[in-house]
Amino acid sequence: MGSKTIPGIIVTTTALVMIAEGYLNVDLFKTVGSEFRAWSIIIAAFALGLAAANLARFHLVRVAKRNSGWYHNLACLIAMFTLGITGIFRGPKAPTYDFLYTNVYSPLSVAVVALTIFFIATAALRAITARNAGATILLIAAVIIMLSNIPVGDAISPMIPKFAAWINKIPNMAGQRGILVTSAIGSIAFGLRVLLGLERTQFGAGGG
Amino acid sequence: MNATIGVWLGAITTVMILSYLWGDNELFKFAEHVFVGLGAGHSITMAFGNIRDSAFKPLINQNRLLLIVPIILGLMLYARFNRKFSYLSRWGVAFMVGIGTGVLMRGLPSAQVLSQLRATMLPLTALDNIIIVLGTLGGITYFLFTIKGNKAVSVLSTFGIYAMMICFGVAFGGAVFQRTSQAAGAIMNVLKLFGR
Amino acid sequence: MSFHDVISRIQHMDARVVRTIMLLAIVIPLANPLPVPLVVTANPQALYDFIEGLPVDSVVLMSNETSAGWRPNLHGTTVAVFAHLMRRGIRVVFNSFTPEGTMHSEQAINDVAVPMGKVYGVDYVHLGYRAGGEGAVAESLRDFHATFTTDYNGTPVEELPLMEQVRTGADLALCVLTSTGGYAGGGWVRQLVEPYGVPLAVNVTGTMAPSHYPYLDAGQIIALMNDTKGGAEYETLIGRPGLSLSIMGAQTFSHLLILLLLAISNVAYLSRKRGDQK
Repeated sequence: MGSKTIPGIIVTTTALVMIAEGYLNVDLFKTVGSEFRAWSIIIAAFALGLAAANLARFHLVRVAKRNSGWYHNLACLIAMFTLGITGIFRGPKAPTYDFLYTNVYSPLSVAVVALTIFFIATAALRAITARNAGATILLIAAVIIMLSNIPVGDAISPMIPKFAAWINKIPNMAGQRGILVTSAIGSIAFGLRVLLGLERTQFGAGGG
Repeated sequence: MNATIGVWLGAITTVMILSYLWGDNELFKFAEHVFVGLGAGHSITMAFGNIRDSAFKPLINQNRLLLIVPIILGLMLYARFNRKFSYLSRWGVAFMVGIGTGVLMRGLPSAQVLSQLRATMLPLTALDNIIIVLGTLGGITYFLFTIKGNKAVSVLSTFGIYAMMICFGVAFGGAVFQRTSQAAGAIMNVLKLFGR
Repeated sequence: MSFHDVISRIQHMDARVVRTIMLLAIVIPLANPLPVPLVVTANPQALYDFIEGLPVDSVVLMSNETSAGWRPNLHGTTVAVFAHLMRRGIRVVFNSFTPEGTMHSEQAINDVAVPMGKVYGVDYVHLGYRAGGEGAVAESLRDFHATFTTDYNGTPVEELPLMEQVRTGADLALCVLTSTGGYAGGGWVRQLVEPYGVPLAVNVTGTMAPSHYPYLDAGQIIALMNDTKGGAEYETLIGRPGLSLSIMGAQTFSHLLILLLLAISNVAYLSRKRGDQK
């Protein structure tokens, strides 16, 4: 049996049990379905640890080989193990854990995502132009929404916030619904491919 | 005293990250690596708690012996670190993919297709309704009918494209708002030093 | 120097200058806050009215599927809604399906329930985090006690008085979902609204809010709270200024700057196009 055959059987079986549980009022499917979902919670928790393990391995190798900037990798490892070990032995409610999370990790996270607005500013200056009808419509919608988000919009005209609300509720909603329905149909089609064993990309390259 | 140290740490780490705006530098790289490390550390903590509470506690306290199966499948995920046995890691992945696919597929037809299409069945007596119907059908037509030989399909697809352009414009406006809030949040971590 | 040359030079100025100007546009109004006139829109009002209409013995689920970086966008709304529920004496259960959502819940609890002297286990409960995405959501709504055998503090769920009345999704009067991505509102519509008929309110970021309008229009969600603006409006409604209102001041100048930059970019493009046509 190829190395993707058993995983393929697992995928098909578990997915069929989930679907059957949803559409058939049979106690066996409900019991098995519930048990399988409980199992997936446990496996997902191991997967979360795997991400951290992967990261640790990457940085350990760089520190061991003394690659350029290895001291940054060391800092990463120290941060990871400090918070991880504190969390495991003292729990996430421990004062040390809370202090590190609230005063170091949280501000770092916010700052990292905050960088984006500055790049949006540069892009707005250089790249976002009304080159064709579609881009013009995009820009007009964006300008109206932006004006409606600040008091200036209302100061220019009370119609701006009203028009923005209409844009959100009607044309934006219509376009989003088209995307939503189509993506749902696409997801169902993809799910059928997974069920029938035609889709093996999630198992990686190689193997039978 | 702890509160003061905390405020200083928040401000310093924020400035280190924001220094990237004027070019990549060692301070930014250091802060970025610490950020990644702390995030991973938090993941380790949450993973440990989940495994303890969802697997080992019920296994030991409630005698749920079947939970040995997901524990083994979960441990098998780590086989990917060994080239010879890496194929075993696919079993745990397969299980999660199967559950995710099944749960999604049983919910999508009703929640995302039928309910949405039902909400689109509107009387074409008002301009708003006409825009909703044409915009929805246009978007679906654009994605599903990729071979455009028919004039009606072409026109409807174009209407769908324009509806989607409005969506993207709205999303851009939302992105500016969202990212400004995040920047404001970051800067507030620095302004706390000055009592703001 | 022609007009095109001038505008082109402005357009290609050093990116660091642009970023510095943007930084100042955010720093100055935050350092010197001015009151921002705010009109409460339909969605925050809808959620407020719904909560006002809930019977006092209701239980509301607040699920925080967030990350730390999105605290400025969403935390204000979570705190404001939680404060409203606590003021009304409505009981709240917190849970999370992202690792960092638990800290978001804990911060809300520390900001609201602790100062109000609310009793843990009676007035509110924090169940913690479960991995597994939408599958875990489905399983928790089928049986909270089986999925969350202990709460975030390690206490067996059976020992919490509030949880005696909450076993499945059907026992909830409302779910307020705070989300930064993934399946977001769609997942909860699939797993909570469709099977159990429980009303769902969604608190999402500015980029995600537009994609939730189809659910709002179809009646699958009752209210859509849009980023900091939704939070600021809700804080205004309950008379409890907080994080969201304090951030709103920074929006005006940054938006005006982006609009100016867009104008320069498009004027430069049109000028270049006209030059090419000549």
